[in-house]
Amino acid sequence: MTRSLASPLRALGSPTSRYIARRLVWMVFLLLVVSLVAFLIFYALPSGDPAAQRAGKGADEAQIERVRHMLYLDRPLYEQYFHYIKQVVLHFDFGFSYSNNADVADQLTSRLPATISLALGAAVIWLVVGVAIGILSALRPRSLFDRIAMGGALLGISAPVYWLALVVLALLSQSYGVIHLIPNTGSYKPLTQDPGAWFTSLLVPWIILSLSFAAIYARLMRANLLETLDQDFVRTAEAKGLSRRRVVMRHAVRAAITPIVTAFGLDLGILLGGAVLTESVFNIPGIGRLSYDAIQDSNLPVIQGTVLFAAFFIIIANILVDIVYAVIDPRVRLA
Amino acid sequence: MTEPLLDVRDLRTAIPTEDGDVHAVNGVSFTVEPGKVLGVVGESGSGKSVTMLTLMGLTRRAGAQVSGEVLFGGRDLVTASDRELQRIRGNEIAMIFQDPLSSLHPFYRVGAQITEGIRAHRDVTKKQARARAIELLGLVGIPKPEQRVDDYPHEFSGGMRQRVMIAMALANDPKLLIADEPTTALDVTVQAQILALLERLQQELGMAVVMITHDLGVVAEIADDIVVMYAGRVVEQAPVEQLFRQPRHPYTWGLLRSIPRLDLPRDVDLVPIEGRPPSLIHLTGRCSFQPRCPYVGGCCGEQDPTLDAVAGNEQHRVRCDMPEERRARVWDALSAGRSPSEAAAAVGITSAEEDAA
Amino acid sequence: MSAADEQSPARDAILEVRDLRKTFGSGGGVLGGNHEQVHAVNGVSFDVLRGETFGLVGESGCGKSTTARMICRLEEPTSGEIRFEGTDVAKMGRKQLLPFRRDVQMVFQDPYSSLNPRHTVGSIIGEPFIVHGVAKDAKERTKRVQDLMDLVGLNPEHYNRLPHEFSGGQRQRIGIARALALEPKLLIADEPVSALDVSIQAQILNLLRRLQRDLGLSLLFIAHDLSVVRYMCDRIAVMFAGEIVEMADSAQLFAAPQHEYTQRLLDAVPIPEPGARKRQREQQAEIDGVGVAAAEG
Repeated sequence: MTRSLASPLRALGSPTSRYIARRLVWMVFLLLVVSLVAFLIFYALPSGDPAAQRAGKGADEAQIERVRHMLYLDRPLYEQYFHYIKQVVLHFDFGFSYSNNADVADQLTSRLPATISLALGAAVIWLVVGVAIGILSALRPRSLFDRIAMGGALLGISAPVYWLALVVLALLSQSYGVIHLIPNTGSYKPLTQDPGAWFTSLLVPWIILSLSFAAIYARLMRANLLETLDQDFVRTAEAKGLSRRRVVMRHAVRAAITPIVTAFGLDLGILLGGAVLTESVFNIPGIGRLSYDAIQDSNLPVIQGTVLFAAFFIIIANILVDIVYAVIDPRVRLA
Repeated sequence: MTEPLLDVRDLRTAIPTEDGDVHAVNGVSFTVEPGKVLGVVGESGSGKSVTMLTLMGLTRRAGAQVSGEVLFGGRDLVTASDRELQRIRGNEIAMIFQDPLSSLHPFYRVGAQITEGIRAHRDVTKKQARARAIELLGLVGIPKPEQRVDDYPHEFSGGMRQRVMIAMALANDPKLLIADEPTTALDVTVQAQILALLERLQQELGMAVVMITHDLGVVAEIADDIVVMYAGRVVEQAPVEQLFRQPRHPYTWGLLRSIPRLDLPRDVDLVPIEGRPPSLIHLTGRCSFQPRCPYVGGCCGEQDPTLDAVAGNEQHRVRCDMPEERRARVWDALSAGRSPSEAAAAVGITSAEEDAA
Repeated sequence: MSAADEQSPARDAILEVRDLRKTFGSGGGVLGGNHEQVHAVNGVSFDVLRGETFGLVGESGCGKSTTARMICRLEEPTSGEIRFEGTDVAKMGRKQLLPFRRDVQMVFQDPYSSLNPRHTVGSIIGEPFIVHGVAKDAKERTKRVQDLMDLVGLNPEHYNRLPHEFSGGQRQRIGIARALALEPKLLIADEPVSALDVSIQAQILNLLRRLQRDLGLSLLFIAHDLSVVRYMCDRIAVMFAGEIVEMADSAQLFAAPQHEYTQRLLDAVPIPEPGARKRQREQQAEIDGVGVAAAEG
């Protein structure tokens, strides 16, 4: 998919598209490095014989050897790697899972909607809540609201997701929870199947996942805005006789929000690669859950696939952040 | 004499900090006549900027405690509501600052920043506001204003940026322009251009200007009156000719003798003001310049002296207990190239006299 | 002064700068190709004589600070030659570099950012002793540091204070004391007073003047302020856009500026004397034979 993006962009002559093209070339290189490192790590680590694993229980020596040959596992390491890369690039083929022989690419794409649902929903919550609290706190530093909000933010950052998630699950889970306040908690439903159930099944995971992010963003926003409010250009805006609201929103917040954009892009990119803890605890069949299971089983093709997917999202997020940054701040030149 | 445009009476501003309240302004009084230029001279910490920010209401957000009166067009700006002040700022009173780069918003085109100020006070269409912005940019001497109106601040040079700031300040034909060290961050040739521009605009538009500076040379040319500030107080004020010909306060003398000047012979030694300005957190209630003053003698009182008119000249006021006749003799000695200690000795100020007192 | 002294073509120069150039390349990312070159310093040549104060004056971006940084080897010249006491600085090996670093010291514009905020003033001023292995004995070091503090007008009892406890002017004195610790032959002062309040500026200028005289220092004084440079310097070079446009004795430069840019700089300096500028302009107009279009209305 990277190739199809790069070529039309090269045809465009603007600095921005040249910049994007350059970044995409760079991305391909990075993905190769990531895949190589992942490849080497998992081969170097001691685990069961993949061929035996794949051949299944009760397979004899000859069957295992045949599997080994089929999977290129009897070739030198570099050949295995090149074969893998060739398949990925040419056929979007990530190989087959060792444990259940399923197509890894299919697995990844079928798990993606759940991960995207979780990550995007949580992102909306933490962005809105975090930025709003941060702004209100910065406008009234040391007020009661500020103290409570920042105290709460400290708690939110400190509370571990797995602990919080388990406590909430024990209370609200559809199957074994104490109170069935929110239906479907702990059992994910796809959006296409039942939008209502999708929403309720994700509500608690969204809140849990967004909690620590919202806390971090609130603190970041507060600190940035406090600093920006002391800037000369804010004083100029006040001296022009603009309304307080306009001074704060159009002048101070606009400038203070740029670091938030950076953090947001990167955090979202990371989460799209799989929210391992949240997905596991709430039983959401996403990429994170997939990679968790794959690591448990030393399921190399799946591990490789999830690692590449995660790396892809993070790098794309990085590029998008840079572009958005240039849009926000005219001083940034994409060159 | 006409009714003053701005009448500041015993203004005091204390700004809370972690170390305690900083008494940045401690009873400042002055007036600005319509269409005149007032130079406010002082070093960092003299309270000159805080005075101006306070009268614009721009220290309110920092939680400043303000007392005194600032009368402008029949209203007291100290007690005016935030809404009222907002209507005055950028409309009747405009302000420009020291560093034009950090004072312009980096993300918005200069045209947008100017029109925003126009539309905050005038009911005009975007198109009219833009036309006005272009007109203003032309007025302040920016070439090709119809193109540059769409540029961002970082695409201008330092001097051009200050011109943009001036254009923004003039947008609503203010009666009073406060310029806070408008040329300090600029190169000397650019400074000359900006000063010439301000002088021209002041005369063309007939507005009053308060020019804040640490550089006596900057205000000597364009000010009608000068106020010298030290440690949050006015120590001397006078019409410009008077202040440079017959300065009456030891601090003003110190300032005049401590700057190298191209119009004086090269071998005249500079006379620094020894020591450093006092803390504004713990006020002593005595003359704030006393610890640095080379002429401390029996004439100094226990209290901070009041700002009194010099005998026979209502417009020249000075905050010093030194007798008039002695002051004249000290200045004569200093003008003749004597050092402060020689001048002090010449008028009979000795440490012995201080001891006796 | 004998006639021979004045006529000798090369009076004893401690520093010779010949055709110094510095080009900064800008633009061009990994794959981008458009390279822009900025000639920050474009063929600068001058001498600093032993015991004199030589001034480099110019506006921001004229290349004066880059020149100073190249002389101190803080920046690599693109081309040209810098000779200190006859030795090419660029060709100095480790062995020669150590005495060079001792003999050439720098005083910076911002006295605060150049002082380590966590070190006491005593250890800041005494640091060069340790670095260069002079005054190894702690007691002697303390003594010498306190002598230096006294020399620059700091109270030696404040030996154990931290930089933030001092005012801007005092911090600049600390910077000067540190620069003087190893008894340098050449002191390079880059805008040493432009960050200070006016009443404090004179303290530092007089201090530098006194030290230069008493210690027989050679001083390369860099500033944007013509009146300050005039007060301090024997000879002055005016820089504009990376080049020296005029170089002359101080008195001569101000009495009869030759280059148009020098004239412009001079005209721009504000004079603390009401009407001085106007009179000057009128005189100029008379000389030029142009009627004075004074505002009579």
